[in-house]
Amino acid sequence: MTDVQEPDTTSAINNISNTSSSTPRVPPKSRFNIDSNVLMKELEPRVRELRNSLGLLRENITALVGLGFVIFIIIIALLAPVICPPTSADTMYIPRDFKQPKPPGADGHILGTGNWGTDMLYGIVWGARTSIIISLFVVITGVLIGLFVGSIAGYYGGRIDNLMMRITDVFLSLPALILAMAIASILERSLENMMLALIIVWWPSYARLIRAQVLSIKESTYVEAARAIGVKTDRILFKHIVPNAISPLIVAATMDIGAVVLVAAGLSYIGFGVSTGSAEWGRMVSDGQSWFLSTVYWEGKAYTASWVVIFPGLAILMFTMGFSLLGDGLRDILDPRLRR
Amino acid sequence: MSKDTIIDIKDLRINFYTKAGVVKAIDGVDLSIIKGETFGLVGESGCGKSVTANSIMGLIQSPPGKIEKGAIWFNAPKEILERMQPKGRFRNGSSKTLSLTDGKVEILGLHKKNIRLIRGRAISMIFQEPMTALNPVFTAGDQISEIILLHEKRELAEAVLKKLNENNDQKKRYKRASKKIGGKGELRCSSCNGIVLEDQELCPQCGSSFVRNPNKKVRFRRFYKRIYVKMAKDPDALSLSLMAKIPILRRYRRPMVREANDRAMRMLRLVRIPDPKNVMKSFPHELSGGMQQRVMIAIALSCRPQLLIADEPTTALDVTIQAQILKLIQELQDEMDTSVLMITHNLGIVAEVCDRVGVMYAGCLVERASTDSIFKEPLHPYTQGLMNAIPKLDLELSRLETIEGNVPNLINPPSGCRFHTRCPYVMEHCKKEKPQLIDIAPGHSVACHLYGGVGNG
Amino acid sequence: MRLANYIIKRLLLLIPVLIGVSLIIFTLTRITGDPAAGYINEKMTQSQIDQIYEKYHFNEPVYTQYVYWLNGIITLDWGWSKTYGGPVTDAIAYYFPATLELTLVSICIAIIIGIYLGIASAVRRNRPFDHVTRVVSLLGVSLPIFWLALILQYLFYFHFGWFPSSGRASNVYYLTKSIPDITGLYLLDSVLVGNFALFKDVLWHIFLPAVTLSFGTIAVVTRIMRNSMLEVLSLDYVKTARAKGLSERSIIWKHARKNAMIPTTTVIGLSFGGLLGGAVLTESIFSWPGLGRWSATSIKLFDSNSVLGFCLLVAIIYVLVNLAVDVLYAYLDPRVHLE
Repeated sequence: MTDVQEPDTTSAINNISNTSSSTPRVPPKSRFNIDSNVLMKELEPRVRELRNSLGLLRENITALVGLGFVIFIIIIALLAPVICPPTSADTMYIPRDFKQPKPPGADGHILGTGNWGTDMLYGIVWGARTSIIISLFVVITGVLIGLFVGSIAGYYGGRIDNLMMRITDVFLSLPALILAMAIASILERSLENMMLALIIVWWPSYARLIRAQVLSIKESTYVEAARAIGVKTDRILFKHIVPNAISPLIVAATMDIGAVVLVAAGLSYIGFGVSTGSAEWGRMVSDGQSWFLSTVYWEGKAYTASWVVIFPGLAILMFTMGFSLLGDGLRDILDPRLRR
Repeated sequence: MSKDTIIDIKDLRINFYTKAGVVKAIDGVDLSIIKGETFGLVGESGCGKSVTANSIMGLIQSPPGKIEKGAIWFNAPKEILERMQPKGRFRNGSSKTLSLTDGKVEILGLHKKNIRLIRGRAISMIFQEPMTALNPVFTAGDQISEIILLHEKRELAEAVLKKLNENNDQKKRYKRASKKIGGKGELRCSSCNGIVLEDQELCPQCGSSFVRNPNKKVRFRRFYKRIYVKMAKDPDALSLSLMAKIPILRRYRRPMVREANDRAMRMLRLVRIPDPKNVMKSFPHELSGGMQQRVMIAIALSCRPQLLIADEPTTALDVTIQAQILKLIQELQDEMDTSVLMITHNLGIVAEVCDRVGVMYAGCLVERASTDSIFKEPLHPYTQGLMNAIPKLDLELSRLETIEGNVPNLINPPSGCRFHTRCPYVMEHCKKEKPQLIDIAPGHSVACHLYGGVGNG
Repeated sequence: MRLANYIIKRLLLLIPVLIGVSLIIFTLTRITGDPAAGYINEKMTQSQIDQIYEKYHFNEPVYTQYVYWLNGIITLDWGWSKTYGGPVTDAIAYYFPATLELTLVSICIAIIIGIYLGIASAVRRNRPFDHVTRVVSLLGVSLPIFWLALILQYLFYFHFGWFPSSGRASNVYYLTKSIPDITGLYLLDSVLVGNFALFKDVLWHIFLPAVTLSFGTIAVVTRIMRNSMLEVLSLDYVKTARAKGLSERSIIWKHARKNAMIPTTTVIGLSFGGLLGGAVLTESIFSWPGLGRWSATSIKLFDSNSVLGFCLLVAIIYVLVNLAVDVLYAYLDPRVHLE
């Protein structure tokens, strides 16, 4: 059914022309020569789009739930020193009393204790920090590398493109966990090296994404128009192509933050990255595994020490789910076809 | 309603409930189609022609669309009426009884099992874009034989039975021969040098066979016979459809599928496709637009429907192919005595093929007459605007005539007569009251206050 | 014919990728430590060690080393596995069938359930079934596999006692040596021999690990199948099928499904890599004697040679599986042939 809507650009243009056709003002003499009227004119449609996006965000329940999880985790991570003050110089060292695991609620340990009597709450809260740091670092670095490689490969095409695509093919032909295992097993077992391994695993998919976007945008008419008026190549690249290619990248990056934490947890479960007894969720699971199905006694009652494994896993689950939902929601919002 | 009327649409009103609002898509359409005629439905994009056509087939999707009012009476053939189930259960548990009035069934109230008896068999439809309308992963032959297998099981079963019964006594041995290309490029039999056609299996002059195994032995003949006798009696039997799902027992369908493929090939020849054997095996994307549309016509006509709905069949094709397809539809219509509902926005097509025309605007039928009357004497201002907009070679004009304004938004249609915002003869009354379709001359109806007089309608 | 050409073309493209992968693995073997460590074990004397140095040309520049190493790989000399106590290739041959069995069962479960759920939730769009399926799908993607394995073990082994927690078959069969050794796939072997009690026992043992492993793949397949079906159901040929009078069931399961499966096959191939990775964790937890557990133990024992051998094997398998999937895609979608 035809749905003819009154275009509201006419009213917007009217508004703008009204403001600028009033008394001709002398623009303020500033060092940067910015005409504030022109600036307002540029920003107006962007502001409107932003308001539209926020409106859509409010409607999308899944994105809101995801955002809720994410904000909750970020707050916990930020407040980590307040909730559980560290007891040593190394914040990753979980304070422990070297006794058997205690059930939740015992002795002031809200979530109980785990292997070597490590305080679970401390582990979860500081583990949030660790996870955020790991995932942000890996994703941002991966995105930067992928952006660089992908945009050059996509824009220049030809042999450069071919070579870079073969290289990314090679990296993509190894599953994530396997490649990370391979790299991390060679290097010294440390957190930085685990992050390095993850970066090496992740950048090729961003390069591919950007390249695909660049290829499709490159052929579009507004780039052709820009070239026709003689705009220089790298200016085209950064001013036209990159902003348009960004939105699928943002969606992928958001969802990858969750995925990276999953793989990092897997790696630290196996034994890479941090040392045992550190505040990292995957490591906590592997530490607790030996107690998992055995019985411990506290105040005369017998408990199966399942909490040593359940809580860290739930934390990983919440983290990954939150970012996946957020990424899904962002995809729905940023997809121009689904707007309005 | 005379015996010759196939379809009778009475006061159809359809709304679509969307996020943006309620789209009042069809607001009172009355028309009828007579046996053997071509009825053209004309109008701009978005005026509701396709929605009307879809509603005849029962293809309006129920969540957004809802049929508010109205009835569509269809003069269905007896075999179909017999097989309809009198009651049906809907998802919410309510039951609907079959609406039957002296041989005519009401389509909009039909239970989905009943309407499936009509679709494809009594009423069929061809669409605008043949490329997307055909399933890309099935061959053209598969798609034609699919509909034959679906609807004509009884005839196929009888044909198979006939073949099974006659093969019993022919155990002749055939001389083997091959086909060779003769002097002028025609095919000749190698043993007697007589002329043979490409797909003949036996040489008509000397009787030698060109295929390796002419007596196609059918295994389990008695078992098959029993099955096909049952199928000829009751094609919808549950046991038969269950057997069709079990892998090994499914073999029983093979002779039937072969029959269906033969009939599909015959249909392809009927729609004048030059190389039916290859087209049968091709996928839709390997065929040209005109061929695809012919395949669609073959699918639609293979069960000899009473009514063929053609929803802008030539809009996506080149002009030369357009002419061929239209001519094909006309010829087939004559051969099969089918009525055609031709939906188009092209007045040229209307002039060529339609006997009667209905003009639609914004969900309403504004004028209904024979083609001659519409072209010679358009009564409704909208129709007049359409006729004036056609560039004429014999007049010298500096500007082309247009109709002022835009097609209205159907969420908030104009009050009263929906055309009043663009009508050059608009009166006060037009904004208040919607004109009804009334007969001005025999066979010529208009919905306009200019002809009804004030207070009428 | 066109299909054969396509396969050959893709096989040729495979070679540079495999060379690239081998380069990566080779680089990793040479980055740290003494590369000879992979081929030496404690029992060797100094002269034997010198012989190894000669044989593998460790004294020569890197590119020559690469050629010799590559030669070794092709002739199936992959070094010595400390964990297994034998050549890496022997270890692989020993552990491979167990992992193959587990992976095959997991993929079958994932495909059957994932496709059904995807189609069913697309048909019941936005109704409760759909919402539940989407939540489950999301869970499947977000759950850490090792955690899921532990939870399932807790619930179904510890709490309910319905399934065993380790091994491929009960000890009884190992002790009486009644497990046939025809293909190494216990399920298949037990059927071939006719020992149905063994078959049931193996099935009982494989259930929990296979379900764990398949969870992530089910989630991914469901999601892609649902999206694909939603897209297909809005296309014109579905309308044509309805206009022909076909029943809804026939339209969904015959016409729409065949078209919607096409992107799904690619995704199944890609998720195979995740399956192999997940096998490492799952096998460790369920004590499944396969390649995954071997590599996990190798990591704990700092046996990088085994780990790299495992990674190289996985890379080869993954590349081949994706090639097979691409060929399957070309077979399923008639439009692809014309490239």
